[in-house]
Amino acid sequence: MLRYLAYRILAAIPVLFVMTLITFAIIHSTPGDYADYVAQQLRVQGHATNEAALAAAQQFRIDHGLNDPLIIQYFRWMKDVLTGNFGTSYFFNRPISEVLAQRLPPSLGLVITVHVLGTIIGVSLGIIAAARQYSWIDTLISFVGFLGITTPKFLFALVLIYILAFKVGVQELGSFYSSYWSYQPMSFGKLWNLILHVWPIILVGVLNGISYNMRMMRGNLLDTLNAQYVETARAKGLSYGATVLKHAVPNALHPLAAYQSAVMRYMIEGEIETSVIFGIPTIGVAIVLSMGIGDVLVTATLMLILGLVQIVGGIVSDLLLAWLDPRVRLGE
Amino acid sequence: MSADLLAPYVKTEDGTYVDVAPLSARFAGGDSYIVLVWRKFRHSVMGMIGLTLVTLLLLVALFADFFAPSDPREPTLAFAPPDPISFISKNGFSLRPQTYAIVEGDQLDPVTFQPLNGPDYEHPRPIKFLVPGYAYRLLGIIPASLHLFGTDDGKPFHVLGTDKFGRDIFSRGLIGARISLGLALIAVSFITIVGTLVGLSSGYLGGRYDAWVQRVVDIFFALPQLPLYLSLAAVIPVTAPSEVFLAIVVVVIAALNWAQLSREVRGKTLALARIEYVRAAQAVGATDMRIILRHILPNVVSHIIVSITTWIPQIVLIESFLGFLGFAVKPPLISWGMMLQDCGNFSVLGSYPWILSPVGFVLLTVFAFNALGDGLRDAIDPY
Repeated sequence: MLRYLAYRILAAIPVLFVMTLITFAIIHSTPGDYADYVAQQLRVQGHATNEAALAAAQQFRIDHGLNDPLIIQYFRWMKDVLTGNFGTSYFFNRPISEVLAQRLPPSLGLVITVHVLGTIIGVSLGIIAAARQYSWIDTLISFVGFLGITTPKFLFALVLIYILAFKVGVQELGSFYSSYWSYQPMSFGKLWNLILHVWPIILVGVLNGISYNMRMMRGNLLDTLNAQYVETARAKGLSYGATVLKHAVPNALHPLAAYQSAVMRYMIEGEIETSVIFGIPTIGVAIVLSMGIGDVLVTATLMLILGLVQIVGGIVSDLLLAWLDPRVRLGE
Repeated sequence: MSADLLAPYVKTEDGTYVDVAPLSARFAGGDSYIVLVWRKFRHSVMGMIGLTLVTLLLLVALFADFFAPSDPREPTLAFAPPDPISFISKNGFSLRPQTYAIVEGDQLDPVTFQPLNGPDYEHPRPIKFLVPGYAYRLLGIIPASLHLFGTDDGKPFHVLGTDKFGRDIFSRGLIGARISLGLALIAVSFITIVGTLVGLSSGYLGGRYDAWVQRVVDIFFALPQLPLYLSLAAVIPVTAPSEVFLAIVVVVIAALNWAQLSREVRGKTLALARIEYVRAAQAVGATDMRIILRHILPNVVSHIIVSITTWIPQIVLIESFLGFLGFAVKPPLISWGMMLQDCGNFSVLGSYPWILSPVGFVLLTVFAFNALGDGLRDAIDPY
């Protein structure tokens, strides 16, 4: 087991290395850099002359080594990554590790909340639907699941924002806390305020998550319910409920665990889409913002982190599979 | 006679088909497989709804100008709400619905001093089928000016209102289907070709080649997709012509998505390569090419078709999100994503909610293809 884990982690390193090389090259191939943004700000806000602005941009490039060959910039950033501070953000004007510390926890918090809620509710609904196949409740759950899977997150978020902001008149949009609670210490009042702000985002994600898990669970469980050992359990007098929960469900969970690695990527992208629409300060907004103004190291770091999260998701999924299924565990 | 023996079912006197030899269906050639799939598919309600909608969507995309009541590029009154339609006019009730154009009023809003727009109730315009309208070229060749419906005075009729330049949203949505669906179809063709080739070769040849290809696939899997779309779309020079811009977006979408399909195909191929008839073919000395094309590919095709139907809506969605952020399509061309661009501004959205209506086109497409895919998935294994 440990050997396998070590192998997976070691195999992830070259993948991450090549991935950072590719993303770094792509990010840097966009026309313009942060110095152009500096020059533009000087012209617009500082009323500098064009020459002065361009000179300041040139100075900025020299100071921050933006004129160096790409490969040198890459290894300079890599050195910072290995020391753990990921370089300095030009826009936020502080180490990227601080930006990450500020933005990553809320992002991951949202993703994990959505994932846990979606899995628990979705799996339960899937069990109910499969256990009562062809009943009205199965039809209803399946139809809602189909709608949930076809409703795109970002369009749902867009329509939800319109309804909440202009029809219902909800004020708590576009941030994590109201201004009153922003600098208060954590308390139940603040928690409630947080929930008031994030529930639409969680709703958008959870609806999709529920649908995916529900459909998967329903399909798997229907397959297992046809197996002969289920019939045997019924024949020896076990109640239907107990047969489903004790014999069928544990065997139907297997593909669900295998699919957790795909979920991670899906959840993260969903979080980016919804946060951009809702304007919540998380990783997603930071990526779009840093990309727009050429704050390249921030973009590269965030992509590295997202890639890392995806790879970790894959490993966790395999471990979960081994834990759930003795055939996988002992087969190694 | 011999054809009847081979067929998996025979027709009885009362016109129903009886499945006499299910196993023989496997040897009865490609045609009867399709018949079998169709027989099963026909019974799936969702699948049939999906198939109907997809056919309609493709027809609308092909003959968009015919279905569009107003010129999608002609600017009129900006942000005009949808023209009201009613069956009751000054002359009483009539079966032919009347519509009233939205016109700029003389009055000003007391708060914003913007002119107040409202329907012109003095001039009802009857809605008719097959009316002459703006001139277009059917399928890009045949000059025509006939439209499915509209008002016969030849003036624009705004079913879903107008956008910020006063262009008809409904007509733009219909024309936009061309780019949005076309982009998805072309990107999916690339994904299918590359994904299938890589998956088949990697799964069949195995060994060191497979190991290397899978590492490359791993890297593509680890790439965060959404941010990469954004940065790759930003790489395209601003001055590039819109067609080039579109072509690059297609290539980018295809480049980031082939890995998924290739992995699925590889998994199937790995399993198939161990099956007896493939081994038998190897034993009698069939070339690798023949085994892949004649024995493995036909078994993978059904899976590929199902994944195509699920990929198309995903690419339509990617396009709409990129368009929403202003990255996918450039102005002379029209796409659904581009039409949503103004919805990011809350105050615009609050004042003119009808600019959200392209969402309906996207939802319909996503629903239609997913329903079709669902029906097909259940039907592809009819044995």
